[in-house]
Amino acid sequence: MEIPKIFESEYRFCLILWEHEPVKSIELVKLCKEQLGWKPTTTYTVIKRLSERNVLKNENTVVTSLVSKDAVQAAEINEMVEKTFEGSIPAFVAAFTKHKKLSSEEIDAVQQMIDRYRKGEQ
Amino acid sequence: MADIFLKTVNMSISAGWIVLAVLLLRLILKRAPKWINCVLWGIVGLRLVMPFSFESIFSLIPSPETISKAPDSPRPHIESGVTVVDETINAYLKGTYFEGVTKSMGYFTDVTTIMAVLWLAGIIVLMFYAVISYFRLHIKVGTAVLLRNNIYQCEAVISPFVLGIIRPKIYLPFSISEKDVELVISHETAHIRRKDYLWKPLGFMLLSLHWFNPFLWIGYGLLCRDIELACDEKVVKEFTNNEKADYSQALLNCSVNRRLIAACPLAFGETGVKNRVKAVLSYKKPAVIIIILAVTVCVIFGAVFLTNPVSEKPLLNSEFETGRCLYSFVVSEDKETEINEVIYNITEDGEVYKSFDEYTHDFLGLLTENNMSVSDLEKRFTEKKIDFGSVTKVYFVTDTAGTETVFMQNSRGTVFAVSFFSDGSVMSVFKLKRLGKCNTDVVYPESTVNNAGTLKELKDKYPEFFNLSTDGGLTVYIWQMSSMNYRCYLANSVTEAFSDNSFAYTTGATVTEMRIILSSYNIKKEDVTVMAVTNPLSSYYYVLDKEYQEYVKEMFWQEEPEKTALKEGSVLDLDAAINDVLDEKYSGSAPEGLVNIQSYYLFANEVAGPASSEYIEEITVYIVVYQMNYSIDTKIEEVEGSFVPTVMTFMIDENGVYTLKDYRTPRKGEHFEEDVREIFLPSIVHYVLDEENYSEALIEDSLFKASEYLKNK
Repeated sequence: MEIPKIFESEYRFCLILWEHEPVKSIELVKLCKEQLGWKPTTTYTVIKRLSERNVLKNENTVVTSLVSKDAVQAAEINEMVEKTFEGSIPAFVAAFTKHKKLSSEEIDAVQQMIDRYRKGEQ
Repeated sequence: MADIFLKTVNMSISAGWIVLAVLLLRLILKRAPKWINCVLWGIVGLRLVMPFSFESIFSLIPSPETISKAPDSPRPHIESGVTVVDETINAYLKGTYFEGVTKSMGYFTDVTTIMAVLWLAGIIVLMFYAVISYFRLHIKVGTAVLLRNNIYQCEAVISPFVLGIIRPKIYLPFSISEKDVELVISHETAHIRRKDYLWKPLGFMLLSLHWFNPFLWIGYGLLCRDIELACDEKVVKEFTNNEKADYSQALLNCSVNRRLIAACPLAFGETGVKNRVKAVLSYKKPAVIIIILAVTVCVIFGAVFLTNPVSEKPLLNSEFETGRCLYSFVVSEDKETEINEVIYNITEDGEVYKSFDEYTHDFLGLLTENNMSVSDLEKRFTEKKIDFGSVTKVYFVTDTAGTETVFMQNSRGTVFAVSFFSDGSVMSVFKLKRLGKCNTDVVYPESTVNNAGTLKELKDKYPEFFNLSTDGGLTVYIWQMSSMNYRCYLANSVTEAFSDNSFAYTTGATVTEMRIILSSYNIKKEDVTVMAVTNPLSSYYYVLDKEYQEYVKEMFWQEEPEKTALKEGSVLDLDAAINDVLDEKYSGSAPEGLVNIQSYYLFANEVAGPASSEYIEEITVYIVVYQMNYSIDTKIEEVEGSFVPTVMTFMIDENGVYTLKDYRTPRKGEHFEEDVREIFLPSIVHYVLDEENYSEALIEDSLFKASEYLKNK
């Protein structure tokens, strides 16, 4: 069975779920508030999302996981982040913050600057 | 709305100058801490926000109001403070928009309105975009996970940032390394402590109001940069070299996966990483002396750029909305006020004022000050606690003695009349009360096609003088327009006792006409009272004493006005004077066998007043002449003629004799219109240029004269 993809924040949520399952959704809301700082609406939304992706199931307000902790691949997470959120950060005023991605030359140049500094050369 | 737009544009232009100055200062203040730069930008922001301004002599702003112009003033006008620019542009504007039309200039109003609408549209677009972007980001960080206090982690961020206006929260990516986390947090915390999460959005809001100004975009971009650098400095202030290197590493690490970052979120890896690393690595705590100097520079900068230059407008060369005060005369013993001499004034747009309070004594110390400017007078008003406000409109009048009087109107409509001696020193200051608006037809009489007319014609002309009740007698109110020119008003003696002279604005029959009107009543001479009154329209100076009353009564009942020994051919009547001049100019030029007949239509007359003595006077008439060559033997035939706008000025001596002093007509052809505009009163130019206003009446009159000529042949 293919392991459903889970975002990092959802992963943190799942950690709580795995620890306390089976757990009433209301209880889960309270735990998320304490540990993650989430609003109740956020928690319910996440529960719904994850149930649609078959990561958990919510029956009669009791939530249980469908995927085990070990099965989740942390390595996929970063990849997802890059793909999903590419270019979605707003740009009101791009004008004078002329940053495009740093070229590898630039990265090297700056790294060198830092290294030399550490060594005591100015 | 166009008004607000223009105000904003002017503010923007002022701000533009300041941005240039800031750019210069930033170079000079390279060694100063970066928060100084932020203060400078703050001053720019203040300038954009302050709707009012203080005036000071320190101001370096070239001009506080570059584009001046309320939508209803005659002509737009540029005052950038740069003389060459001003003169060139204003000359162009003068040629395009004509002065004197007191109705609003539709063309200019429309252009500004369109621009104002575009401006609003721009603002809406930018604000919309900002709000939407903010909320999208806000939603994305909904699933952010709390780290501690107000620090969260989420996958929506590539670069750490601060979000939130009331309770700012720090958002970090999950992918940040342990080593870098604390350094990043201290940078973001520095942002929070400096309240940058407020300044940046505020700056953006101001920017969106001035989106059309490229300098301000530059300023905003640099502000963002300076904010980041200032934050870096705050963090590394007490760092060791190693710590500084670590911080630079964190900067670099966070920049590697960057995207373009928004104006609101305050990011970590945003501004040119190379520059920031350089700045951090080379940072040295600035000496106290440098900080003191930098702060001093800021203070001076504020004084210089937050204030406007003092406006120097010499009173008599005022650049306010100006008008002419057509009639101004003095009456003594007014019972309502306790002033000995009350001045009545009528401006060319028909507003009637009467002097109400005298303030000359408050300005006594100024009797020796020459060439006062408007701001000087305004200051004096304030010093003497006279509630004046600021001048919005100025009227001028000069009398034959050379006394110039300036009538200054403030934004509330109160008018002060300040008279000056010819050397520029203050002679008197009066506060005027507005009585109302008068019928400008009286100011510009429609026609003086001169016949006394039959009773029927008079009934049509003055219906209000007929069918009055004779119970209790009738009163003829009579006032003097000039030395031999009297006007009359008829009313029942009992039912209409006038306490004011408001009737005098509206009508007036000549003496001859009034006597014909009286003949229609079954009334004895002794039941008719003749009473001399003052008239606001007359600039003829006279004193209403017993002697004068008697004289007027006598004059009214005489069959013919008394003639003193006069030079042969002298003229006692304005109409006759005009006709004489026209006869001289045109009759001789008629070709053989033809007769030239002239008739004229009077638009306005103007008496230079108040006259300084009872007898000497000058009158200028603005007329259009219809001169036509006729062939007249058995019948009348028009051959050739034209309409000629003409301005004549007559001198009237103590005997009431008119002598021509000045005669002006416009050139024919391409210069016609510009000449008319030059020699005629601005407010009647458009009547003159539109033949339809008078052609019918004049042609009729001319034909009538021609038929009289035929009869008498």
